[in-house]
Amino acid sequence: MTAIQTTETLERSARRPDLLSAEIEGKTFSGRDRAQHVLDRIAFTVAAGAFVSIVGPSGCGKTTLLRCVAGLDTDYRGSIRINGRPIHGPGLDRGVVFQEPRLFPWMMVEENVAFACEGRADQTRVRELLALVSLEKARRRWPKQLSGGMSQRVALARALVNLPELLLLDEPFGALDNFTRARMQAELYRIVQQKGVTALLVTHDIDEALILSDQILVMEANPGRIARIVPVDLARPRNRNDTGFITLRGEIEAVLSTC
Amino acid sequence: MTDVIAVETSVINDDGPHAAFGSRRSGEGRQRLRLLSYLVVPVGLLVVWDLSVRYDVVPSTLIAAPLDVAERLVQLLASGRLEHQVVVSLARLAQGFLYGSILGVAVGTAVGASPLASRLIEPTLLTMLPIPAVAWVPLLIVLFGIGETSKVLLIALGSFCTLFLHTAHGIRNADRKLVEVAYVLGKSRALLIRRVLLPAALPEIFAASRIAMALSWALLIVAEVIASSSGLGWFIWDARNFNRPADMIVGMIAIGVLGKLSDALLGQVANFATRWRDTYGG
Repeated sequence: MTAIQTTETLERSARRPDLLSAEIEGKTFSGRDRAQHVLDRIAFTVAAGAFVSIVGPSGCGKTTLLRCVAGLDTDYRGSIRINGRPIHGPGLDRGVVFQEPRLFPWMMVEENVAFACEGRADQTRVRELLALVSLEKARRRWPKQLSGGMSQRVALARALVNLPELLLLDEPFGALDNFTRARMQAELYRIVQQKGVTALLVTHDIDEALILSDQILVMEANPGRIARIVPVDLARPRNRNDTGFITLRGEIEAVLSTC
Repeated sequence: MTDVIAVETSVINDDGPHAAFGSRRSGEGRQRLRLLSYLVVPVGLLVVWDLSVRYDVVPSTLIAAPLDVAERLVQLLASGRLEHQVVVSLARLAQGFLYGSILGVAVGTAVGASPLASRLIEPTLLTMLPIPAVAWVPLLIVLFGIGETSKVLLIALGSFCTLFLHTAHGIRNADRKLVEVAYVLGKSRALLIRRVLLPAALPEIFAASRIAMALSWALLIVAEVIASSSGLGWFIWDARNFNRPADMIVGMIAIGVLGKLSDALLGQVANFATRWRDTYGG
Protein backbone atom coordinates (compact mmCIF):
# COMPACT_ATOMS: atom_id res chain seq x y z
CA MET A 1 0.00 0.00 0.00
CA THR A 2 2.69 2.41 1.06
CA ALA A 3 4.82 1.54 -1.93
CA ILE A 4 1.98 2.26 -4.38
CA GLN A 5 1.25 5.60 -2.77
CA THR A 6 4.90 6.59 -2.98
CA THR A 7 5.28 5.83 -6.68
CA GLU A 8 2.05 7.64 -7.46
CA THR A 9 3.29 10.77 -5.79
CA LEU A 10 6.64 10.47 -7.43
CA GLU A 11 4.97 10.44 -10.82
CA ARG A 12 2.85 13.39 -9.90
CA SER A 13 5.80 15.57 -8.97
CA ALA A 14 7.93 14.37 -11.86
CA ARG A 15 6.68 17.28 -13.91
CA ARG A 16 9.10 19.58 -12.10
CA PRO A 17 12.77 18.61 -11.81
CA ASP A 18 13.75 17.16 -8.46
CA LEU A 19 15.99 19.36 -6.35
CA LEU A 20 16.38 16.85 -3.54
CA SER A 21 16.22 13.10 -3.73
CA ALA A 22 16.83 11.01 -0.65
CA GLU A 23 17.20 7.27 -0.48
CA ILE A 24 18.16 6.13 2.98
CA GLU A 25 18.21 2.38 3.40
CA GLY A 26 18.76 2.66 7.10
CA LYS A 27 20.28 4.55 9.96
CA THR A 28 21.01 3.19 13.42
CA PHE A 29 22.09 4.88 16.58
CA SER A 30 24.38 2.43 18.32
CA GLY A 31 23.67 2.49 22.02
CA ARG A 32 25.80 0.75 24.63
CA ASP A 33 24.08 -2.61 24.53
CA ARG A 34 21.78 -2.46 21.52
CA ALA A 35 21.55 -0.62 18.25
CA GLN A 36 18.44 1.47 17.70
CA HIS A 37 16.88 1.56 14.28
CA VAL A 38 16.01 5.21 13.63
CA LEU A 39 15.40 5.42 9.92
CA ASP A 40 14.31 2.57 7.68
CA ARG A 41 13.94 2.57 3.90
CA ILE A 42 13.21 6.25 3.48
CA ALA A 43 12.80 7.38 -0.10
CA PHE A 44 11.36 10.66 -1.24
CA THR A 45 12.04 13.55 -3.58
CA VAL A 46 11.38 17.24 -3.35
CA ALA A 47 10.67 19.11 -6.56
CA ALA A 48 12.36 22.47 -7.12
CA GLY A 49 10.20 25.25 -5.73
CA ALA A 50 8.02 22.94 -3.65
CA PHE A 51 7.17 23.30 0.02
CA VAL A 52 7.31 19.90 1.69
CA SER A 53 6.67 19.10 5.34
CA ILE A 54 7.52 16.10 7.45
CA VAL A 55 5.11 15.28 10.28
CA GLY A 56 5.13 12.39 12.68
CA PRO A 57 5.09 11.41 16.32
CA SER A 58 8.05 12.41 18.46
CA GLY A 59 10.88 9.92 18.16
CA CYS A 60 9.98 8.95 14.60
CA GLY A 61 13.30 10.31 13.34
CA LYS A 62 12.05 13.38 11.52
CA THR A 63 14.70 15.65 13.01
CA THR A 64 17.35 13.00 12.31
CA LEU A 65 16.18 12.85 8.70
CA LEU A 66 16.47 16.63 8.39
CA ARG A 67 19.95 16.54 9.93
CA CYS A 68 20.98 13.97 7.33
CA VAL A 69 19.74 16.25 4.55
CA ALA A 70 21.56 19.19 6.16
CA GLY A 71 24.76 17.18 6.13
CA LEU A 72 25.11 17.33 9.92
CA ASP A 73 24.70 13.58 10.15
CA THR A 74 26.52 11.49 7.54
CA ASP A 75 26.37 8.15 9.29
CA TYR A 76 23.64 6.32 7.34
CA ARG A 77 23.33 3.79 4.55
CA GLY A 78 22.04 5.28 1.34
CA SER A 79 22.47 8.52 -0.51
CA ILE A 80 21.02 11.99 -0.49
CA ARG A 81 21.35 14.00 -3.68
CA ILE A 82 20.87 17.64 -4.43
CA ASN A 83 20.51 18.38 -8.13
CA GLY A 84 21.76 14.87 -8.70
CA ARG A 85 25.00 15.33 -6.75
CA PRO A 86 25.41 13.30 -3.56
CA ILE A 87 26.09 15.32 -0.41
CA HIS A 88 28.86 14.54 2.04
CA GLY A 89 28.43 17.33 4.56
CA PRO A 90 26.89 20.76 5.05
CA GLY A 91 26.88 23.13 2.12
CA LEU A 92 25.78 26.63 1.25
CA ASP A 93 23.20 25.21 -1.19
CA ARG A 94 21.21 24.46 1.98
CA GLY A 95 20.14 26.93 4.66
CA VAL A 96 19.15 25.61 8.07
CA VAL A 97 16.80 27.06 10.70
CA PHE A 98 16.89 25.13 13.95
CA GLN A 99 14.31 24.67 16.64
CA GLU A 100 16.06 27.33 18.74
CA PRO A 101 17.18 30.55 17.02
CA ARG A 102 20.86 29.77 17.82
CA LEU A 103 21.96 33.36 17.30
CA PHE A 104 25.46 34.25 18.41
CA PRO A 105 24.80 36.33 21.53
CA TRP A 106 27.97 38.41 21.03
CA MET A 107 26.94 39.58 17.58
CA MET A 108 24.27 42.15 16.94
CA VAL A 109 21.34 41.18 14.70
CA GLU A 110 23.07 42.62 11.65
CA GLU A 111 26.37 40.91 12.47
CA ASN A 112 24.66 37.56 12.93
CA VAL A 113 23.31 37.73 9.39
CA ALA A 114 26.51 39.23 7.97
CA PHE A 115 28.64 36.51 9.57
CA ALA A 116 26.78 33.90 7.52
CA CYS A 117 27.85 35.42 4.21
CA GLU A 118 31.12 37.03 5.34
CA GLY A 119 33.68 37.09 2.56
CA ARG A 120 31.22 35.58 0.13
CA ALA A 121 28.49 37.99 -0.72
CA ASP A 122 27.87 41.65 -1.06
CA GLN A 123 27.03 43.03 2.38
CA THR A 124 24.10 45.02 1.01
CA ARG A 125 22.29 41.72 0.87
CA VAL A 126 22.31 41.69 4.68
CA ARG A 127 20.15 44.82 4.71
CA GLU A 128 17.89 43.37 2.07
CA LEU A 129 17.34 40.19 4.08
CA LEU A 130 16.69 42.12 7.28
CA ALA A 131 14.10 44.13 5.39
CA LEU A 132 12.56 40.92 4.10
CA VAL A 133 11.98 39.68 7.66
CA SER A 134 10.92 43.21 8.77
CA LEU A 135 13.80 43.69 11.18
CA GLU A 136 15.59 46.68 9.69
CA LYS A 137 14.99 48.70 12.83
CA ALA A 138 16.39 45.99 15.10
CA ARG A 139 19.63 45.58 13.21
CA ARG A 140 21.77 47.14 15.94
CA ARG A 141 20.21 45.13 18.76
CA TRP A 142 21.76 42.29 20.73
CA PRO A 143 20.01 38.91 20.56
CA LYS A 144 19.16 39.23 24.27
CA GLN A 145 16.94 42.19 23.39
CA LEU A 146 14.78 40.22 20.93
CA SER A 147 11.53 38.35 21.44
CA GLY A 148 11.24 34.69 20.43
CA GLY A 149 9.55 35.53 17.14
CA MET A 150 12.10 38.21 16.26
CA SER A 151 14.99 35.86 17.06
CA GLN A 152 13.58 33.21 14.76
CA ARG A 153 13.16 35.83 12.00
CA VAL A 154 16.84 36.70 12.33
CA ALA A 155 17.66 33.00 12.11
CA LEU A 156 15.57 32.83 8.93
CA ALA A 157 17.38 35.82 7.43
CA ARG A 158 20.70 34.20 8.31
CA ALA A 159 19.67 30.93 6.66
CA LEU A 160 18.64 32.75 3.48
CA VAL A 161 21.48 35.22 3.10
CA ASN A 162 23.65 32.79 1.11
CA LEU A 163 20.75 32.29 -1.32
CA PRO A 164 20.41 28.55 -0.71
CA GLU A 165 18.36 26.42 -3.07
CA LEU A 166 16.91 24.40 -0.23
CA LEU A 167 15.72 25.77 3.09
CA LEU A 168 15.63 23.24 5.94
CA LEU A 169 13.47 24.07 8.94
CA ASP A 170 13.40 21.98 12.10
CA GLU A 171 10.27 22.89 14.05
CA PRO A 172 11.25 26.54 13.83
CA PHE A 173 8.08 27.87 15.45
CA GLY A 174 7.67 25.17 18.08
CA ALA A 175 8.57 27.49 20.96
CA LEU A 176 6.33 30.38 19.89
CA ASP A 177 2.84 31.20 21.12
CA ASN A 178 -0.10 30.43 18.82
CA PHE A 179 -0.60 33.98 17.71
CA THR A 180 3.04 34.60 16.82
CA ARG A 181 3.26 31.20 15.20
CA ALA A 182 0.39 31.89 12.82
CA ARG A 183 1.96 35.20 11.82
CA MET A 184 5.36 33.58 11.32
CA GLN A 185 3.84 30.86 9.13
CA ALA A 186 2.31 33.44 6.83
CA GLU A 187 5.57 35.36 6.74
CA LEU A 188 7.62 32.24 6.07
CA TYR A 189 5.43 31.34 3.10
CA ARG A 190 5.64 34.86 1.69
CA ILE A 191 9.44 34.86 2.00
CA VAL A 192 9.85 31.40 0.52
CA GLN A 193 7.70 32.40 -2.44
CA GLN A 194 9.48 35.70 -2.91
CA LYS A 195 12.92 34.05 -2.84
CA GLY A 196 11.78 31.10 -4.96
CA VAL A 197 13.42 28.75 -2.51
CA THR A 198 12.50 25.11 -1.97
CA ALA A 199 11.56 24.29 1.62
CA LEU A 200 11.62 21.18 3.76
CA LEU A 201 9.92 21.69 7.11
CA VAL A 202 9.86 19.34 10.08
CA THR A 203 6.93 19.91 12.41
CA HIS A 204 4.72 18.06 14.86
CA ASP A 205 1.86 20.43 14.11
CA ILE A 206 -0.42 18.97 11.41
CA ASP A 207 -2.18 22.29 10.84
CA GLU A 208 1.14 24.04 10.28
CA ALA A 209 2.07 21.43 7.69
CA LEU A 210 -1.32 21.75 5.98
CA ILE A 211 -1.20 25.54 5.85
CA LEU A 212 2.25 25.67 4.30
CA SER A 213 2.91 22.57 2.24
CA ASP A 214 2.41 21.30 -1.27
CA GLN A 215 3.16 17.84 0.02
CA ILE A 216 3.32 16.22 3.45
CA LEU A 217 5.45 13.22 4.37
CA VAL A 218 3.77 11.41 7.25
CA MET A 219 6.25 9.38 9.26
CA GLU A 220 5.75 6.53 11.69
CA ALA A 221 8.05 5.55 14.52
CA ASN A 222 10.04 2.44 15.50
CA PRO A 223 11.59 2.25 13.02
CA GLY A 224 11.21 5.65 11.37
CA ARG A 225 9.51 5.18 8.03
CA ILE A 226 7.45 7.24 5.67
CA ALA A 227 3.92 5.94 6.25
CA ARG A 228 2.33 8.02 3.52
CA ILE A 229 2.99 10.94 1.23
CA VAL A 230 0.01 13.29 1.18
CA PRO A 231 -0.26 15.88 -1.61
CA VAL A 232 -2.02 19.06 -0.50
CA ASP A 233 -3.92 20.57 -3.42
CA LEU A 234 -5.76 23.28 -1.51
CA ALA A 235 -6.05 26.86 -2.69
CA ARG A 236 -3.99 29.48 -0.88
CA PRO A 237 -4.24 31.27 1.49
CA ARG A 238 -5.55 28.31 3.38
CA ASN A 239 -8.16 28.27 6.06
CA ARG A 240 -8.19 25.79 8.90
CA ASN A 241 -11.98 25.56 8.72
CA ASP A 242 -12.32 24.65 5.04
CA THR A 243 -13.82 21.26 4.34
CA GLY A 244 -10.83 20.20 2.24
CA PHE A 245 -8.48 21.21 5.04
CA ILE A 246 -10.47 19.32 7.64
CA THR A 247 -10.69 16.22 5.45
CA LEU A 248 -6.91 16.15 4.91
CA ARG A 249 -6.27 16.72 8.60
CA GLY A 250 -8.51 13.75 9.38
CA GLU A 251 -6.67 11.64 6.85
CA ILE A 252 -3.27 12.45 8.33
CA GLU A 253 -4.53 11.92 11.87
CA ALA A 254 -5.85 8.53 10.80
CA VAL A 255 -2.46 7.55 9.40
CA LEU A 256 -0.72 8.73 12.56
CA SER A 257 -3.11 6.90 14.87
CA THR A 258 -2.37 3.56 13.24
CA CYS A 259 1.41 3.94 13.59
CA MET B 1 12.77 49.89 69.38
CA THR B 2 10.94 50.07 66.07
CA ASP B 3 13.27 52.90 65.10
CA VAL B 4 16.34 50.74 65.48
CA ILE B 5 14.88 48.03 63.29
CA ALA B 6 13.99 50.53 60.58
CA VAL B 7 17.53 51.91 60.54
CA GLU B 8 19.05 48.45 60.29
CA THR B 9 16.95 47.34 57.34
CA SER B 10 17.68 50.55 55.47
CA VAL B 11 21.41 50.14 55.91
CA ILE B 12 21.28 46.62 54.59
CA ASN B 13 19.08 47.56 51.67
CA ASP B 14 21.34 49.29 49.27
CA ASP B 15 20.17 50.35 45.83
CA GLY B 16 20.06 47.77 43.09
CA PRO B 17 17.59 45.00 42.49
CA HIS B 18 17.12 44.35 46.17
CA ALA B 19 15.86 47.88 46.78
CA ALA B 20 12.37 46.90 45.73
CA PHE B 21 12.12 44.57 48.72
CA GLY B 22 13.30 47.18 51.26
CA SER B 23 11.25 49.62 53.27
CA ARG B 24 10.59 52.99 51.68
CA ARG B 25 12.22 55.98 53.33
CA SER B 26 12.64 59.59 52.33
CA GLY B 27 15.29 59.99 49.61
CA GLU B 28 17.60 62.21 51.64
CA GLY B 29 17.52 60.03 54.73
CA ARG B 30 18.27 56.98 52.67
CA GLN B 31 21.16 58.71 50.97
CA ARG B 32 22.70 59.61 54.32
CA LEU B 33 22.33 56.07 55.62
CA ARG B 34 23.86 54.72 52.46
CA LEU B 35 26.93 56.88 52.91
CA LEU B 36 27.12 55.82 56.54
CA SER B 37 27.03 52.15 55.60
CA TYR B 38 30.11 52.63 53.46
CA LEU B 39 32.02 54.44 56.22
CA VAL B 40 31.30 52.33 59.29
CA VAL B 41 34.00 49.70 58.82
CA PRO B 42 36.95 51.84 57.55
CA VAL B 43 36.40 54.60 60.15
CA GLY B 44 35.99 51.98 62.86
CA LEU B 45 39.28 50.36 61.90
CA LEU B 46 41.07 53.72 61.92
CA VAL B 47 39.76 54.47 65.40
CA VAL B 48 40.81 51.07 66.74
CA TRP B 49 44.23 51.45 65.12
CA ASP B 50 44.75 54.94 66.53
CA LEU B 51 43.63 53.99 70.04
CA SER B 52 45.79 50.89 70.18
CA VAL B 53 48.93 52.87 69.21
CA ARG B 54 48.03 55.80 71.49
CA TYR B 55 47.52 53.56 74.53
CA ASP B 56 50.51 51.35 73.73
CA VAL B 57 48.52 48.21 73.11
CA VAL B 58 51.01 47.76 70.26
CA PRO B 59 54.52 49.25 70.60
CA SER B 60 54.43 52.75 69.05
CA THR B 61 58.07 52.47 68.07
CA LEU B 62 57.22 49.67 65.65
CA ILE B 63 53.72 50.63 64.52
CA ALA B 64 52.93 54.17 63.35
CA ALA B 65 49.74 55.99 64.27
CA PRO B 66 47.26 56.92 61.49
CA LEU B 67 48.12 60.63 61.58
CA ASP B 68 51.86 59.97 61.32
CA VAL B 69 51.17 57.76 58.32
CA ALA B 70 49.08 60.48 56.67
CA GLU B 71 51.84 63.02 57.25
CA ARG B 72 54.45 60.68 55.78
CA LEU B 73 52.21 59.96 52.79
CA VAL B 74 52.02 63.66 51.97
CA GLN B 75 55.79 64.06 52.36
CA LEU B 76 56.61 61.08 50.19
CA LEU B 77 54.20 62.18 47.49
CA ALA B 78 55.55 65.74 47.53
CA SER B 79 59.14 64.56 47.16
CA GLY B 80 58.17 62.19 44.32
CA ARG B 81 59.80 59.22 46.07
CA LEU B 82 56.59 57.23 46.35
CA GLU B 83 55.67 57.92 42.73
CA HIS B 84 59.05 56.61 41.64
CA GLN B 85 58.49 53.28 43.39
CA VAL B 86 54.96 53.10 41.99
CA VAL B 87 56.18 53.56 38.42
CA VAL B 88 58.86 50.89 38.81
CA SER B 89 56.39 48.41 40.29
CA LEU B 90 53.62 49.10 37.78
CA ALA B 91 56.02 48.57 34.87
CA ARG B 92 56.96 45.11 36.19
CA LEU B 93 53.35 44.27 36.95
CA ALA B 94 52.02 45.36 33.55
CA GLN B 95 54.72 43.55 31.58
CA GLY B 96 54.40 40.31 33.52
CA PHE B 97 50.62 40.37 33.50
CA LEU B 98 50.34 41.14 29.80
CA TYR B 99 52.96 38.67 28.56
CA GLY B 100 51.61 35.91 30.78
CA SER B 101 47.96 36.57 29.99
CA ILE B 102 48.41 36.81 26.24
CA LEU B 103 50.43 33.60 26.14
CA GLY B 104 47.96 31.92 28.51
CA VAL B 105 44.99 32.80 26.28
CA ALA B 106 46.87 31.66 23.16
CA VAL B 107 47.95 28.31 24.59
CA GLY B 108 44.59 27.81 26.33
CA THR B 109 42.81 28.39 23.02
CA ALA B 110 45.02 25.93 21.19
CA VAL B 111 44.56 23.29 23.87
CA GLY B 112 40.82 23.88 24.09
CA ALA B 113 40.20 23.87 20.35
CA SER B 114 42.64 21.23 19.12
CA PRO B 115 42.82 17.67 20.45
CA LEU B 116 46.34 17.39 19.06
CA ALA B 117 47.55 20.48 20.93
CA SER B 118 45.83 19.15 24.01
CA ARG B 119 47.64 15.81 23.79
CA LEU B 120 50.96 17.52 23.17
CA ILE B 121 50.86 20.19 25.87
CA GLU B 122 48.17 19.58 28.43
CA PRO B 123 49.54 16.66 30.49
CA THR B 124 52.85 18.46 31.00
CA LEU B 125 51.23 21.76 31.92
CA LEU B 126 48.72 20.18 34.27
CA THR B 127 51.57 18.46 36.08
CA MET B 128 53.46 21.72 36.50
CA LEU B 129 50.42 23.75 37.51
CA PRO B 130 50.23 22.56 41.13
CA ILE B 131 53.71 24.02 41.77
CA PRO B 132 52.96 27.43 43.31
CA ALA B 133 54.47 30.29 41.33
CA VAL B 134 56.46 31.32 44.41
CA ALA B 135 58.25 27.97 44.34
CA TRP B 136 59.72 28.98 40.99
CA VAL B 137 61.61 31.92 42.52
CA PRO B 138 64.88 30.08 43.28
CA LEU B 139 65.01 28.52 39.82
CA LEU B 140 64.20 31.83 38.12
CA ILE B 141 66.96 33.56 40.06
CA VAL B 142 69.44 30.82 39.19
CA LEU B 143 68.48 31.07 35.52
CA PHE B 144 67.99 34.82 35.06
CA GLY B 145 69.70 36.45 38.02
CA ILE B 146 68.03 39.03 40.22
CA GLY B 147 67.35 41.56 37.48
CA GLU B 148 64.09 42.66 35.94
CA THR B 149 63.73 39.50 33.84
CA SER B 150 63.20 37.12 36.71
CA LYS B 151 60.61 39.43 38.33
CA VAL B 152 58.62 39.89 35.13
CA LEU B 153 58.84 36.16 34.42
CA LEU B 154 57.53 35.25 37.87
CA ILE B 155 54.47 37.47 37.39
CA ALA B 156 54.01 36.18 33.83
CA LEU B 157 54.13 32.62 35.10
CA GLY B 158 51.28 33.22 37.54
CA SER B 159 49.13 34.98 34.93
CA PHE B 160 49.88 32.33 32.33
CA CYS B 161 48.74 29.43 34.50
CA THR B 162 45.51 31.13 35.50
CA LEU B 163 44.57 32.19 31.99
CA PHE B 164 45.66 28.97 30.35
CA LEU B 165 43.38 26.89 32.56
CA HIS B 166 40.34 29.11 32.26
CA THR B 167 40.65 29.82 28.54
CA ALA B 168 40.86 26.11 27.73
CA HIS B 169 37.86 25.48 29.95
CA GLY B 170 35.89 28.37 28.47
CA ILE B 171 36.54 27.19 24.92
CA ARG B 172 35.49 23.64 25.72
CA ASN B 173 32.39 24.97 27.43
CA ALA B 174 31.19 26.76 24.28
CA ASP B 175 27.63 25.86 23.26
CA ARG B 176 27.76 22.89 20.88
CA LYS B 177 24.65 24.18 19.11
CA LEU B 178 26.40 27.40 18.14
CA VAL B 179 29.44 25.50 16.91
CA GLU B 180 27.04 23.49 14.74
CA VAL B 181 25.72 26.71 13.21
CA ALA B 182 29.25 27.73 12.22
CA TYR B 183 29.70 24.26 10.71
CA VAL B 184 26.49 24.55 8.69
CA LEU B 185 27.66 27.93 7.45
CA GLY B 186 30.89 26.34 6.20
CA LYS B 187 33.19 28.42 8.41
CA SER B 188 36.88 27.60 8.56
CA ARG B 189 38.51 26.45 11.78
CA ALA B 190 40.24 29.81 12.20
CA LEU B 191 36.93 31.67 11.89
CA LEU B 192 35.25 29.22 14.24
CA ILE B 193 37.89 29.97 16.87
CA ARG B 194 37.93 33.73 16.34
CA ARG B 195 34.23 34.42 15.96
CA VAL B 196 32.61 31.65 17.99
CA LEU B 197 34.86 29.85 20.48
CA LEU B 198 36.84 32.83 21.79
CA PRO B 199 33.81 35.10 22.26
CA ALA B 200 32.06 32.23 24.02
CA ALA B 201 35.03 31.91 26.39
CA LEU B 202 35.36 35.66 26.93
CA PRO B 203 33.37 35.92 30.18
CA GLU B 204 35.51 33.23 31.75
CA ILE B 205 38.71 34.74 30.34
CA PHE B 206 37.90 38.07 31.96
CA ALA B 207 36.98 36.51 35.27
CA ALA B 208 40.32 34.68 35.17
CA SER B 209 42.22 37.85 34.27
CA ARG B 210 40.98 39.48 37.47
CA ILE B 211 42.23 36.54 39.49
CA ALA B 212 45.51 36.72 37.56
CA MET B 213 45.80 40.42 38.35
CA ALA B 214 45.40 39.80 42.08
CA LEU B 215 47.99 37.03 41.87
CA SER B 216 50.31 39.33 39.91
CA TRP B 217 50.30 41.86 42.73
CA ALA B 218 51.16 39.16 45.24
CA LEU B 219 54.00 37.84 43.07
CA LEU B 220 55.28 41.35 42.37
CA ILE B 221 55.64 42.09 46.07
CA VAL B 222 57.24 38.70 46.74
CA ALA B 223 59.76 39.28 43.94
CA GLU B 224 60.56 42.77 45.15
CA VAL B 225 60.92 41.73 48.77
CA ILE B 226 63.23 38.83 47.90
CA ALA B 227 65.57 40.50 45.44
CA SER B 228 65.25 44.16 44.56
CA SER B 229 66.42 47.64 45.35
CA SER B 230 63.37 49.43 44.05
CA GLY B 231 59.59 49.10 43.83
CA LEU B 232 56.83 49.04 46.43
CA GLY B 233 57.75 45.60 47.78
CA TRP B 234 61.32 46.70 48.37
CA PHE B 235 60.01 49.97 49.85
CA ILE B 236 57.97 48.33 52.61
CA TRP B 237 60.68 45.78 53.38
CA ASP B 238 63.33 48.49 53.52
CA ALA B 239 61.08 50.51 55.81
CA ARG B 240 60.86 47.58 58.18
CA ASN B 241 64.63 46.96 58.08
CA PHE B 242 65.46 50.59 58.89
CA ASN B 243 62.60 51.01 61.31
CA ARG B 244 60.48 53.54 59.45
CA PRO B 245 57.05 52.31 60.60
CA ALA B 246 55.10 55.08 58.83
CA ASP B 247 56.76 54.37 55.48
CA MET B 248 55.89 50.72 55.76
CA ILE B 249 52.19 51.48 56.08
CA VAL B 250 52.32 54.12 53.34
CA GLY B 251 53.71 51.45 51.00
CA MET B 252 50.95 49.04 51.99
CA ILE B 253 48.30 51.67 51.38
CA ALA B 254 49.76 52.39 47.93
CA ILE B 255 49.63 48.69 47.06
CA GLY B 256 46.05 48.41 48.29
CA VAL B 257 44.83 51.46 46.37
CA LEU B 258 46.60 50.50 43.14
CA GLY B 259 45.43 46.91 43.42
CA LYS B 260 41.86 48.07 43.80
CA LEU B 261 42.22 50.45 40.84
CA SER B 262 43.70 47.80 38.55
CA ASP B 263 40.88 45.41 39.43
CA ALA B 264 38.23 48.07 38.86
CA LEU B 265 39.76 48.89 35.50
CA LEU B 266 39.71 45.24 34.42
CA GLY B 267 36.14 44.97 35.66
CA GLN B 268 35.09 47.92 33.50
CA VAL B 269 36.83 46.51 30.43
CA ALA B 270 35.18 43.13 31.07
CA ASN B 271 31.73 44.67 31.44
CA PHE B 272 32.10 46.51 28.18
CA ALA B 273 33.55 43.60 26.23
CA THR B 274 30.82 41.23 27.39
CA ARG B 275 27.91 43.68 27.34
CA TRP B 276 26.01 41.26 25.09
CA ARG B 277 25.52 38.91 28.02
CA ASP B 278 22.03 38.42 29.35
CA THR B 279 22.83 38.17 33.04
CA TYR B 280 21.30 38.97 36.38
CA GLY B 281 24.17 41.29 37.26
CA GLY B 282 23.27 41.51 40.96
